[in-house]
Amino acid sequence: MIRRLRCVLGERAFSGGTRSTAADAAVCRGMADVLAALDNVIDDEAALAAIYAGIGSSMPGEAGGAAVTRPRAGRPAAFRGLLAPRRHVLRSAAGVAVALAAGAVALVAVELPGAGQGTVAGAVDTAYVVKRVDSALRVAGPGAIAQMIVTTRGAGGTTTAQEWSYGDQWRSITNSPAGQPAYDEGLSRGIYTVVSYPARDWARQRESGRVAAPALGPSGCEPAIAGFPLFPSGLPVIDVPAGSLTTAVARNLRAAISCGALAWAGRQRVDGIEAIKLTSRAGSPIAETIWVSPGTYLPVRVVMRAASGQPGPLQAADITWLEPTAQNLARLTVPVPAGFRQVRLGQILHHLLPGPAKRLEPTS
Amino acid sequence: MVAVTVGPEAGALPAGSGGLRDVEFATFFRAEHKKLIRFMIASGASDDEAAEIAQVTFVKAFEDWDVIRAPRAWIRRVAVNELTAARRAARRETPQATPPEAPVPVSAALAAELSEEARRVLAALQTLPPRQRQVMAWIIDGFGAAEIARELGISPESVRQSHAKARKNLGRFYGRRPQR
Repeated sequence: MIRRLRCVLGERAFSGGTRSTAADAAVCRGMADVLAALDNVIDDEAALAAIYAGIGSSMPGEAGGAAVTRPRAGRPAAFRGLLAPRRHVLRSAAGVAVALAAGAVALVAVELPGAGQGTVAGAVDTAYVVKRVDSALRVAGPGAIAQMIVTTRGAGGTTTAQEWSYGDQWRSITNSPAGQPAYDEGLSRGIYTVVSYPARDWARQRESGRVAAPALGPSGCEPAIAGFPLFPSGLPVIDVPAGSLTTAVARNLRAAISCGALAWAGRQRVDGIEAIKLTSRAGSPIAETIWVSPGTYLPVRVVMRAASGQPGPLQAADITWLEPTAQNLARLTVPVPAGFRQVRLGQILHHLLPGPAKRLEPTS
Repeated sequence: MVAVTVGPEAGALPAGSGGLRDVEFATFFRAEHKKLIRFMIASGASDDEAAEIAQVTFVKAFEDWDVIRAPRAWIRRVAVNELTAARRAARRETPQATPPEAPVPVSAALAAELSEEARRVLAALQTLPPRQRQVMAWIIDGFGAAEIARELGISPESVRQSHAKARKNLGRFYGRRPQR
């Protein structure tokens, strides 16, 4: 029976009817060591606290003790640093895009060299966060619906847009400064649909396949380092490749993050969570700030503005990552209200945006 | 500005009811959290992936806690499914999320903690074909042939055969590269 083969971690190797071998013993010892190593880098209490934080509940204490609402700050110094010197110690597990399904909120705290003994330094390794955000965005792109509320504040007032994207599909509802829907547009199965509410007309046509994203330089980092805007201006369809606005934002965020354009800037509470804050490095022509969920490492809020002293609008996006349920997928469809008149695409776009509309004319 | 919602709007976790359920879950979590991470590493995940997946898995376990009958096996099954899904999703964008020739995929933080023996066992497991590696991961965590067969959807005999082959391959690995 393999039941007898169970690896008793320690001295005895598994032995399933056949004699245990040196390899069996090595596996047992090695895996015991892996567990011991994990004990030094994973903080169970922080991970458990994250689960309870995600459900807005307090965490039960150990062995029937009193409930605790905060994760353990850190292991006493006596238990640290006994092994090989290490650059930093990860103190918690964390969720990533797959955590979307559960909405987990994990906590991250990283010890830095020289941190006070017995405490967790109030700093997070930027490289670590960057890696996790990049990974989260890469995985979330195809697996979750990104919902964004984009607010633009400028000389012309404040406008909002609500946007969703999922794979190649996207939809955007732009409101007027008065808060009324101005136009509703989206791309689904290669068909672009736009509805103009003021004109009470709509248009639909097959996607032109135009790719107008800003070209990346040899390293792919030049736009990000230069402060490449996170949100294309004007209609979302403008300057956005065949994917979606949100896909473009995710791509630009990834570029900004992976290229080192953003740096860790502490923690800040965003609607109930202690989000990780990343900001543009000094000298960037555009000031970007991203707040990242410590549980999923996905951006939950992005703010972009011109660098200090420069004119320009402020754009902010609140991002919610949704499961691709039937109900949520339905948000990607642009409904055409009854009584609206169908017109040519150029006609409706010219009406909406006289300047850039010409760029939206079919190219083939 | 509309409030940020972290996580899905739908499918939110039920509010914690506290009491025995929470204590029971917390006890289980503390006993199994790192073991699940190790199980996932043994199954081929990096430690980063393993930690992430463990977190997600335990959130799901908390949601379904009242109906889970064999939680140790349950979390491992769910975690493997999560890893499979994550890899599939990653492949859609990047052909290869992890280069096959990559060394033992552990973070710098964990690498600094691993003993030589731990490094070697992870390297040894990496040489195994996926099925043998999966069976070994379950066996290391103390599961029997029948349980493993049930979880992997194969026969107990197949589990035994995979285990026998895995041991043979591990023996070759350790024989080829004797410990210092």
